[in-house]
Amino acid sequence: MGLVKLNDRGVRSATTFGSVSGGSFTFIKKLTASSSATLSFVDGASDVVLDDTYKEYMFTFKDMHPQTDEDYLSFNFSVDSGSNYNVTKTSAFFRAYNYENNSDRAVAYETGYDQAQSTAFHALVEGGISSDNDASLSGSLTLFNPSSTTFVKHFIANAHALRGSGSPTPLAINNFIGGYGNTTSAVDAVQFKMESGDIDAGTIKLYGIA
Amino acid sequence: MATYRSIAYSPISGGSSMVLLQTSSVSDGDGDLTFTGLSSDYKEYMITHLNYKSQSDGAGLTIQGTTDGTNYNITMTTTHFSAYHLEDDSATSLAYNTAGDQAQGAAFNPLTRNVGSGDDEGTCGYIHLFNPSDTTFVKHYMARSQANAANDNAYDNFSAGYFNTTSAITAIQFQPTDGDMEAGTFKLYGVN
Repeated sequence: MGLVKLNDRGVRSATTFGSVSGGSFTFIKKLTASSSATLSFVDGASDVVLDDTYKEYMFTFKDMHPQTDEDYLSFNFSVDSGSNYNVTKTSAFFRAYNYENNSDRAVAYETGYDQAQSTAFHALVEGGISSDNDASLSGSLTLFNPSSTTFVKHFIANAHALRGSGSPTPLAINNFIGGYGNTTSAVDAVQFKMESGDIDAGTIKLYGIA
Repeated sequence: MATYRSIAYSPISGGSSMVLLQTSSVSDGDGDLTFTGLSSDYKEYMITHLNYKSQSDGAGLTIQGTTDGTNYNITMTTTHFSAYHLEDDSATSLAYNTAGDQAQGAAFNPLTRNVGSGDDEGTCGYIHLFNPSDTTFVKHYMARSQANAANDNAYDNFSAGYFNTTSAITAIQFQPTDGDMEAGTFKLYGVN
């Protein structure tokens, strides 16, 4: 690729850099929740790429807000282009928390939110997210080599939330999840949804990592 | 308004904050994998490993650095903890791993232990190395590696520490704890 030289005026005038090459994070798709039951990223649909174009994908969550108080945000994988989100998963889950009134704090494994060969949607936060107007969850989920037909599909996630609008007090909770989709079929879709109610608001972005 | 569709503008390199510098794939039987050429071009480097596994079932993946390009034996002080969960739901854990840390040791330091070598098994993750070319400070690193462990569990490893040297680190090497490497892809990124 040839070197393009820009003078100061050229750089100052450039307000948009479309399809910039050479970078390693490539933005693929942004979905915005608005009382949404689910948010789905399906390879080949709505400009979503989730195939062997990249060996690593990252979803970022920004200010995910539930309609139902203390609902958790969850995810699952599909190997049939979104017809079924029910991939078998095994994971480990731990979290650190601290109450706003400093009455309790800890870091510990959380057996209620991990999975052992389960096909259920996987929680990204223990308990849930407060539905207070200023509460939300933010974080990321990295999925490795989803198109492989040899290996299981490793994922790591880190999600931070404000939960507990009621008793005793709100708390900061930092969640760490590592696991794998125990399938050698290609994962070609990922869906997010709340535990029971809708996703009131929030954005999820998908990036490919070259 | 100007829109530039394709730009390579050194040193911005596409405007991204993460620049892919090198991709190295493991060949079955390799004893180690090395990234050379770390320099002051970047204040932070990230190395990812994708579907790495060793020939020996249960072997871990380790890391060391060099300041002279020859000897991978920098004194390190590190921490290591992990969470795991067995597929049969028979056990879970979050614990510090004394077997995975070092206190002023010069050995290769585990990033993850007990990686399965079955056909569909292995480990994926990343290492952040901060300011390796600095000649004032020690060299910090942080790593996270998710493995499909040898005894069929999800094994989430967190390793962090510092290379206790004020000399510049010029290369990083990975080795298995036992036997040779079998497969995997490593990528080196510079972080602007």
